[in-house]
Amino acid sequence: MAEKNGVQASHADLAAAIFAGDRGAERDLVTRLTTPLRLMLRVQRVPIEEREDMLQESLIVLLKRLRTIPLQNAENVEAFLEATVRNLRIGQWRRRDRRDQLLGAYADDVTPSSELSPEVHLDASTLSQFVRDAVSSLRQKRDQQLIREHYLDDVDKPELCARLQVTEAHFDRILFNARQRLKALLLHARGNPE
Amino acid sequence: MTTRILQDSSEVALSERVRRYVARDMSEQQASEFERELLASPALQTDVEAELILREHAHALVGTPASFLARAHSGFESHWWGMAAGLVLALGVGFGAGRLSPLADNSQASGESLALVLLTQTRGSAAQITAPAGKIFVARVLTGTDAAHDLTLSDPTGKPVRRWENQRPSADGYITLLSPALPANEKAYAFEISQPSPQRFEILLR
Repeated sequence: MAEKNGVQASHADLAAAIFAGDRGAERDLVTRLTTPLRLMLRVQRVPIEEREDMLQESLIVLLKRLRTIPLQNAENVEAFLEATVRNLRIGQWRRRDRRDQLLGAYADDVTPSSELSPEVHLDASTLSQFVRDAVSSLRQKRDQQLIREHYLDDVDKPELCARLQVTEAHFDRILFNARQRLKALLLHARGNPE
Repeated sequence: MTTRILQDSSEVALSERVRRYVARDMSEQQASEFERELLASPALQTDVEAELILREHAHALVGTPASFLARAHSGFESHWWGMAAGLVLALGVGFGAGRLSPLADNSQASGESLALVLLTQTRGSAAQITAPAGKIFVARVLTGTDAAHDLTLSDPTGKPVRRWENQRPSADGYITLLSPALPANEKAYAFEISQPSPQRFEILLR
């Protein structure tokens, strides 16, 4: 179910296939959602020792729902999953016994993708070198300074814009350029140059 | 040409949303909407990964004239190990002589270009610690959890001077931070931990 008529199946297509009992569609959906879920949990600063459990629990809740009740028109997979993660994080109903019960019952069904993020593939010193290279490749010394002060010294955007006399739009452009360079290095290192 | 400019403008606008999302500078509603897009978009996932790496590996940019870390760096390198050893020795002597409580806060500053300030929790009211005015200092926070910590150093008016996010303790249970040089003030600066559990220290700069 990875493809439908030669085109990559949408999350909605996969959800419909899961309701119809297609286990392959479950695997495809889990594979696709694992990376963005891991990113969300990192940004939300879920402690690292809890991330994989919360990741797996979120996917189990999603699959349980998709197997039993089709999504309504106004719903979509992303909205349901985002709300699930939010509720789990808030923790009102995330008791340890409930999670253990869920993981015990469904863990064999849901194995998050083994696909590793670049941070796992690449060691810390390589990533640090990429950050240095990305920033030093910016042509303007002022742009390099802006990046350093923002990310390293936590100087906020309005203060930096005022001090370095750049507009907020230009600030956005500088960060965009630095991130583009870093992305190119990451993609190249993963053997997937753009 | 116009199309390209519009595309660039749209990409840069999205880039700013990525920055704000990773910095958690969005309302809950905005973050929810962003996360729904993130779940559906591999391109956006790569953007968020890159932004996270920039933030988490920003320490790689130390060594430039632009940052106070760089200004401190040579001093840090030459003094850190000696001072850390000095602290261990001081604590050892203190415990051995029975004169230094395990819960006592202490600071060591005088005469060094880089001071070491130890922050540990005192039962009851907020702990008050002394640090040198006008000098960069290293603050070490002893914590009982491996969870990520968010910390803020604020001036006596409550204005944040510096923030540290997502800090995790080393194997010995300490989070080590480098504070900027700050002017003396009769009133205390505040060193606050907002996550994982609130904690506050007051630091007098003399």
